[in-house]
Amino acid sequence: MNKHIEHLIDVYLDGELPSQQVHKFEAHTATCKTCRNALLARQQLSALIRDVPVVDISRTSVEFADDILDALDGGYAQTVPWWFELRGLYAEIRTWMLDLRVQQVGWVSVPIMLLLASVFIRSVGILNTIFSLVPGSDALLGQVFDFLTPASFVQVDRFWGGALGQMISFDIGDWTLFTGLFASLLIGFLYVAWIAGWLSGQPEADPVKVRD
Amino acid sequence: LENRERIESVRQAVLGLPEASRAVLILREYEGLSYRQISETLDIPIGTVMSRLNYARNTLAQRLSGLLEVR
Repeated sequence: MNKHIEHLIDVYLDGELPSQQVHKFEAHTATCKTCRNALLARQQLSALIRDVPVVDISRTSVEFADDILDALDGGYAQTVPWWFELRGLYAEIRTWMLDLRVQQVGWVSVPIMLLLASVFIRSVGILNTIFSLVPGSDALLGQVFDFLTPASFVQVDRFWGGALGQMISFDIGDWTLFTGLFASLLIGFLYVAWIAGWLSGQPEADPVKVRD
Repeated sequence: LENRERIESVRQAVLGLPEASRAVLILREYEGLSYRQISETLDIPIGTVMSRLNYARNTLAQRLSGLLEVR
């Protein structure tokens, strides 16, 4: 029992030690401090390793298998920068853009959308004109659609500088009442179009290439 | 943050192992395969499984000594 049995520690912890030897092993480690410390150290090491998700077991089996292959092959965590974690969001937006066919249309969609916007502005204006001819519409607008009253639109238009609104509306008159609102809509659209144009110029995101 | 560093250093240490011993270690620690199963999976003798596992753990113990309390 005096002989150290450190070479058996791994086999013991892995549960591969024959049962008749397990008792001997445990009896020895109970009395031998050197071997007991070595055992503790190995247990700690195992716990530390198992604690760390080198392979993420919470994923689907296919992704899990990929993870294992990657881990076996090396290079996974070493080559992926921290910001690549954002790839999920990026892929999401990209898919969304592709679904909208914005990618194929690209910047051509900008004048088309501007035209559609002006048509929309006009039709709303015409509808508004028709509606204002209905008796009592003023009272209704004032009470229910208070935020749609001309005064509030003038305020919105002033907020956007007014000039922008006049630039977009082709007729000055009733149209200017709406231009502030649509100016903001157009700015929103231009922003989306810009993002789409930018995305369409991006290569596929696939940094996981380098292996050792 | 400290935990994050710990995870990262373990990950780096495991992935920094030579391929042969890393494969054995991963199959043992994360997959829970027995020596026999590992030997069949990788088509190597059980003695080799044991020696590679021992090498992997010794290397990790050395590299991660700062994270271990005993020794």
